[in-house]
Amino acid sequence: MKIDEKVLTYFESCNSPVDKEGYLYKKGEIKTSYQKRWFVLKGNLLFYKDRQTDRDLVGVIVLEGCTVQLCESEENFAFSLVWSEPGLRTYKFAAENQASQESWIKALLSASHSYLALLVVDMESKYRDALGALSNKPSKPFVMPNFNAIQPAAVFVTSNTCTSSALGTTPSPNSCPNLQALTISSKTASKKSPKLRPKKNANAVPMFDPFQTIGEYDFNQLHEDYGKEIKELIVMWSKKGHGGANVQEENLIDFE
Amino acid sequence: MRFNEKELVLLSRQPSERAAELGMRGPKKGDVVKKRLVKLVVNFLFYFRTDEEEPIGALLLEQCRVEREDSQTFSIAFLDEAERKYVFECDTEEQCAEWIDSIIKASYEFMRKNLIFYRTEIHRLTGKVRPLAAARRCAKCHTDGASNQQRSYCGMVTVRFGVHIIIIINSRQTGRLMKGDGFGFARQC
Repeated sequence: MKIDEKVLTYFESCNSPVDKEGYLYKKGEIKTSYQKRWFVLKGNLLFYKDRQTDRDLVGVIVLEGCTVQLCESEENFAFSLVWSEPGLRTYKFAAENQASQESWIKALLSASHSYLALLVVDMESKYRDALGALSNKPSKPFVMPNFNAIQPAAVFVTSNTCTSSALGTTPSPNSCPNLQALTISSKTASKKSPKLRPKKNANAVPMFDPFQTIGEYDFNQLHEDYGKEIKELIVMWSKKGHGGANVQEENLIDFE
Repeated sequence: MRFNEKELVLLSRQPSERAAELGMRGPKKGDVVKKRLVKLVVNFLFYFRTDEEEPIGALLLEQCRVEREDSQTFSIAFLDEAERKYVFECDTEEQCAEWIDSIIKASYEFMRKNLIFYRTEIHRLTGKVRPLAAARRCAKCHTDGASNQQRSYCGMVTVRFGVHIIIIINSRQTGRLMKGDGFGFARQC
């Protein structure tokens, strides 16, 4: 079976969130000795290469359908990834110390796509409960955004135009969404937004630190913040009036 | 690049989000449209020759752009280049729209962003943060990482809710770890 290596290499090296990275010893597939490799966990993919600074990947392990287990080994701090179907393999690893071993096991346990899907479903129902509870209280109306607006890497673009109609609420209605849309909006937010934005740590797993991510990922809030600045500018410009317009014309290029 | 091919082939046989026979054209110049059974499983798009057991290939659906090419055709582009574009021809407009929607929502990163959105919204609405399983506080030693299970047993130790479980071994009931009836043992905290 073919796999698109360029896409995998790109995904490993791009600045999408890294769930965990570090050196681990991996038992060879043919040789039985343990070899030190740099591992990068992104979602349900575990990439590995010889050194952290290498660009070429040695390989990738897709973490679906496996379990993470402690294993018996001469090596200390060992653990394994096990596929229980006959004919499928077991990957054996050894960490440098107990903390690393535990940390890696924890990270790998929650890496699968189906686990994340369960979490999202759970959170969604808690969210609907919270909305329901609020409907009893008098508060400003909250509009549930269309999820097509909150596309990070995968973006739905209608042919030829970047309309915002299908996308619902977007922070910058005139810009064309691109692959790095979310990263860019966070960067500009840190420059222009009136609120202090915390530093974005690519290595931190955002879901474990809600206070760090509030504001960074709240699109409605970003939209409001941008809107405030624009409204203020509009008020300023309209106060300048016609005098301002004349000055503007003189500054334009003179085609004599 | 090495990858766990057999395990990935097994994944391609799992129940899929969406599967259909579509016309598929590869990213290289000169590639023609071929009829393929296309199957979406987690964040991978597998494609098979009709009636074959093993997929010809697998596409990782991360960092990609899904676009509508015309009423019944969509494309998946990678690497911010127009070059690596896979094109898919559907039978109807509706089918095309459904595929686009499913592929976008299949990406791990998309789901992660949804999770973050729900958490921040829940916080905004209720002032509370619902901790995820791995972020729970141990009732004994007050560090993170306590179990979210009501009870778990291994041969020797009964563990109650909220107690520090450093490592969970789940050799027999592997699929049910998250539902709280897995096996485990507690490391002293």
